[in-house]
Amino acid sequence: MQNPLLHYVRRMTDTSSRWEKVGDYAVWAGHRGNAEPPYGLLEMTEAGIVPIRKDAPGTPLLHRIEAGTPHHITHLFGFWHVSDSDLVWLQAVYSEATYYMMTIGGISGRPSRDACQWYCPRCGHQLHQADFDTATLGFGGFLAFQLEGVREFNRDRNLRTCERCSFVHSLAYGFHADEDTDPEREARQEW
Amino acid sequence: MHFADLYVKEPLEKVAEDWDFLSERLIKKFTGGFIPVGDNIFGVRPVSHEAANSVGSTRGPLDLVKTRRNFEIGPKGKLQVAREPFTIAVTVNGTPHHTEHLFGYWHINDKDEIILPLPPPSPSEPGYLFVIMGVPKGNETDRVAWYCDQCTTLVFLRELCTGRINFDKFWSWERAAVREYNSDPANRTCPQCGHVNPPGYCAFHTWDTPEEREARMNW
Repeated sequence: MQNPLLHYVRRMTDTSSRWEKVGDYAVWAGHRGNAEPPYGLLEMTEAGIVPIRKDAPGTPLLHRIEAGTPHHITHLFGFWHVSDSDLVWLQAVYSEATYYMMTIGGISGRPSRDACQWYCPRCGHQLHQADFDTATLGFGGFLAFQLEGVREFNRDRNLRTCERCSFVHSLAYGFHADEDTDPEREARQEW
Repeated sequence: MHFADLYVKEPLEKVAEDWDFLSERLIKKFTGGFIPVGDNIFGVRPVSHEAANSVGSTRGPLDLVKTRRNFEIGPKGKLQVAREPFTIAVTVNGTPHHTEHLFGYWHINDKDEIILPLPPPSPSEPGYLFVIMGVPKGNETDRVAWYCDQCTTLVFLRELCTGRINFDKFWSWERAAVREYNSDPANRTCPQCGHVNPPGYCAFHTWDTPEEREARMNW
């Protein structure tokens, strides 16, 4: 077969775990072996935090994260992401590993705004927010911005301390594990 | 565990009704067509037919044939493109694409399409193919086209501005376009080389005429 020029592929089995922009979408894919803690999607709603996951092999999970919903994926990124675009989360559990896909986008020109948020793990009070103009600076710019935001949050204990209940939030970590510092790598294992 | 004390106490179905498009309650909807939800249109296809001759023999979801081939047309002509398990493919907007035994035309849309095949999770279950594409907006369109089998010249094309209508209208329009193409051999005759191309067929196999069902078996 010829190598199609117009075609893009991304393997869920790859060990690299970076976001890539293709057309109207940003695409991420990955997997976790059975010995590793699984990725878990959490959504922040008015009723509280909703865990969205399937743990047993069977029909995969296909979920829409509605634009504007703060969401965090345990061990994948150490903040609550909010976008003005819908995201899609797919999780498929097999006997040897669990495979994941996440996409952002679908509508031309979106996402145009993204944000990183942190909430107190004890009482749910919002601790900090960093906003990004994705329409002007692009999704690639957001990937750099989120890591800067994570490191600002980690540097400043005041940002991590809840003014309501005084709980101190753990350190945060960015989208890409290969950019972790040692403390960020430890934080990724923790939450 | 972080945030565990803040988890909602109610069952998931109560706080997030449609949290899983593949739940028992929703899966038939998503395997039976392309469903717009928010910014995207979702289609889920069980991969359950061993060969093309059983497609359309029963009413039910739009199941795929395991041996199907997928094609795109690019600057170098018609190419077979891989659909490998656990591998995400993106058919970039504007690219004519065709899946054997599933739809008997070349689909050209102004939206990117994400395609992901997953193998069966257990021997008793089917594999699945996921298709996710953006909802067309404004002047964005969908086209159905036929290119000559012999020389790839454009033979017949119809266009619908799906950005300005509800996407559900696509299917009756698609059916009319296929019937129009099939209605006159002149529509199927290549203006360049004179080759008479096979009839087309719709995405919904339950709409097949005998002629269309025969075409579905062949390409």
